[in-house]
Amino acid sequence: MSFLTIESVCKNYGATAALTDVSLAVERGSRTAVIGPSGSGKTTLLRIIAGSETPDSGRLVLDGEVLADGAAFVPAWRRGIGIVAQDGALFPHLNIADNIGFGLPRHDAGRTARIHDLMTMVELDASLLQRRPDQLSGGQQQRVALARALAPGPRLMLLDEPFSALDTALRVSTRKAVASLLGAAGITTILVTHDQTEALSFADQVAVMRQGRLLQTGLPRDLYLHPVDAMVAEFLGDAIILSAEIKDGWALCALGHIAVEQGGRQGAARIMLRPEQIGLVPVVEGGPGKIFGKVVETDFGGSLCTAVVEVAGAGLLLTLRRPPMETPPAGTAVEITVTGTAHVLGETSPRRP
Amino acid sequence: MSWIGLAAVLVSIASLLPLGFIIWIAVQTGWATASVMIFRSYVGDLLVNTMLLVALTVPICIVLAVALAWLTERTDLPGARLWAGLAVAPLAVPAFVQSYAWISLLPGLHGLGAGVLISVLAYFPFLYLPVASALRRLDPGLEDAAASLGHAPWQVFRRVVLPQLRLAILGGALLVGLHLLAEYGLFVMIRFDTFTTAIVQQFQSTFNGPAANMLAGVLVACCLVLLMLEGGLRGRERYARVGSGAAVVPRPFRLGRATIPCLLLPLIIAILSLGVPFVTLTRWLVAGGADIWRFGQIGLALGQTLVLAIGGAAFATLLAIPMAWISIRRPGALQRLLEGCNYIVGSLPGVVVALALVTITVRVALPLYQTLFTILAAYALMFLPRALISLRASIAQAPVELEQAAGSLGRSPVRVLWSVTMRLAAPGAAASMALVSLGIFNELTATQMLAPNGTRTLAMAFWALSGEIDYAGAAPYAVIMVLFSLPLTWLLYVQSRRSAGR
Repeated sequence: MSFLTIESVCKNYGATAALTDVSLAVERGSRTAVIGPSGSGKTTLLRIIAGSETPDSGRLVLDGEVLADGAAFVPAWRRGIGIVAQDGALFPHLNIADNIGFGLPRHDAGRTARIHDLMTMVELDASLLQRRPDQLSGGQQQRVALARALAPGPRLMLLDEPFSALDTALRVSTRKAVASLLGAAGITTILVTHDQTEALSFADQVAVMRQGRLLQTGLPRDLYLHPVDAMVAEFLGDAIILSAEIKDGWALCALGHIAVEQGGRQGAARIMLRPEQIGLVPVVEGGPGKIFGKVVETDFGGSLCTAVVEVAGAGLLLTLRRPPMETPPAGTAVEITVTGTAHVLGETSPRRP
Repeated sequence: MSWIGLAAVLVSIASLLPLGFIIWIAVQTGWATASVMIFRSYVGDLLVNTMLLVALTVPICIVLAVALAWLTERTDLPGARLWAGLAVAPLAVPAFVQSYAWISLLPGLHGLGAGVLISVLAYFPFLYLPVASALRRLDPGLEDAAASLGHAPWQVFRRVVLPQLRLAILGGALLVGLHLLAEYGLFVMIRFDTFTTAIVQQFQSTFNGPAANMLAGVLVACCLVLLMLEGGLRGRERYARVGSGAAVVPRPFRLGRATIPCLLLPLIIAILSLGVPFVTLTRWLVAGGADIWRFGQIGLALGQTLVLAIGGAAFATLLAIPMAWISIRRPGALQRLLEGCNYIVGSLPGVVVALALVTITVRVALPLYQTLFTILAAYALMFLPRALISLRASIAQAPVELEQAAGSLGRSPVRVLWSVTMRLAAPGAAASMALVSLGIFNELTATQMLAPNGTRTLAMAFWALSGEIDYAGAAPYAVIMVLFSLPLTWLLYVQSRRSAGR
């Protein structure tokens, strides 16, 4: 049985449904990322797991202990679940040492040593211990918040967009540090974020939410390559979605014949390609059986440039991001190649033609 | 230095007059004479009385205010908004009217116990207001964090919520303490002697005697002790909020079965602080019938009071403008010094300010003695800090870029201040005037000592009539004072909620 089980959890605020029938299983020692646009209910889900909110219905079981089941409810302070909030939520009236030691018994002999250990663990200098939270940088505050949450040895760690307040470079390094630290400690972690790169690189399991519902749960790679629908596909990265006719393992579409996974549906369907599957080869003149196009616009952006390619005879525009040396100048005629297979989307939420 | 800076310095120097007067008197009297007058058992008794009063009233007010603020802001108490309003409303009842209500209900009431009871009822809103607004501003994310670290709700309250209310509690407690030192009418009514009542008595019997001045010196020392105590406890700590994350709306604490007992607290306080004055005033109005409404006299008193209140408020606000502008636009050492001066003078009891102005006008500028100018100057000195608070807040909201733009279009700084900044800060100036006029409307001590002969404000008339045990005759004056104070109290309430962002 899973370490944390969320079963059919619903939560309404007045007439608005924040969560509708959300079920999720989290394995012991794993890292799960819950991702969704703002207002998708991901923070509400986190608060319900933490015990800051009560679900209207549904069950929550952690390591065999029922935390919430209808009206029955274990309060937050008895759950042993750590949280690192978006802004760190450090206590402004306490110094760093007292912030980290907040969840430790106050007259414990090993308290000071434990605080020092935790400072080392989050790679902060012990000279900061006597400072006030507002004297620390954003990244340092987040590390302190993590040390504070780790101190009492939580069963489960919840991270509520803890990196979003940091600038880009710091975000990546802090995220890596946190991931390896939690991995080394073997603490089951749930991360809530709206940043797809963060979710895909951080987690063993990704859950995509939208409008209070869980759309898809799975391995990061599976979700990226095999999203259930266009929304999930586009949320996890740039996607090219085309109408196609499927027959015997091939999809016939505006880009010609493209291989699809075996055992799929037949007939009319929509397929998805990731832009990195598309190749552009400058050509002088066309040939039979090939698909051609013309670069109509380019936009230089440093390591990644944008090229808009008009597919000949199809009235289709592809927007592709690629390295500058692989981006032909505007006006170039190109042959369009596809590597790998296309993914056939499910029949839900047809939004585009 | 600019004209504005010069004006601010002049105002601050003028505001030091009462303090300078006390020092001057002390020096002139000499230590030998002064010590004889200070170290006697009568002064000792007054000191014990005053200290006991402060030491009992302030802690009770703190506990009461924190409990009420928590119930109204953080729990699912039915009718929380109503109880919040009722916890602020006692501000509309002048302290001496509160005292009058109690003494005419229980004529035997007197002494320390009565003083503490009535003081708590009259002054606890000064603590409730800042504590409630601090509670509203508190980041509930901190409480969630504490809970996730294994702290039960009562531990969260003690270790996270309470420490962050410290500044609000200290500020409110200082305000209550200073009011206790300055209050006159409330304690005379119940025959409880404090320094202020003793000084007024001395003044009335010996006019400008050194005895009154020496008592005033001790009273000023008490005020300074309170100020230093508050400053020392406040410390250098800043409770800056860390981060700016999305503010979570706090989940109200469910009282459950405790709801009914919890409702009793605000209910009992409302009955004692509002119900008693209401019942007493109604009783006297009914008993007095139509006879007590002598409209000629009442109208005259109301007119005089309004002239003094509006004139004093305008004067104080005008004097506060340079100071407020400097504290926002040119903060620095000089500005802190000037502001400190105003702050100390604003915390001096009205009786000390009045005594200083009486002595100075009699000895130096006799033509000004008991003139409209002197009484308005006294009001301005007493209420300058009140005027500063809202003015400063609204000047801070007027963008400095507009001033710079007006300056680049060729306006002088003073004209910019008038034609741009003050136009934008007009709501703040209006709030300042409202706050100051509320203070003047119910002022008794300084008005009695300084107002021109023949002046009879509402408070003076009320005081004279109730002093003659004509409680029925005094009732209409009390009712008018309360009715005029209500809108201003409402303004205070609304402002405190708005400053908390909701």
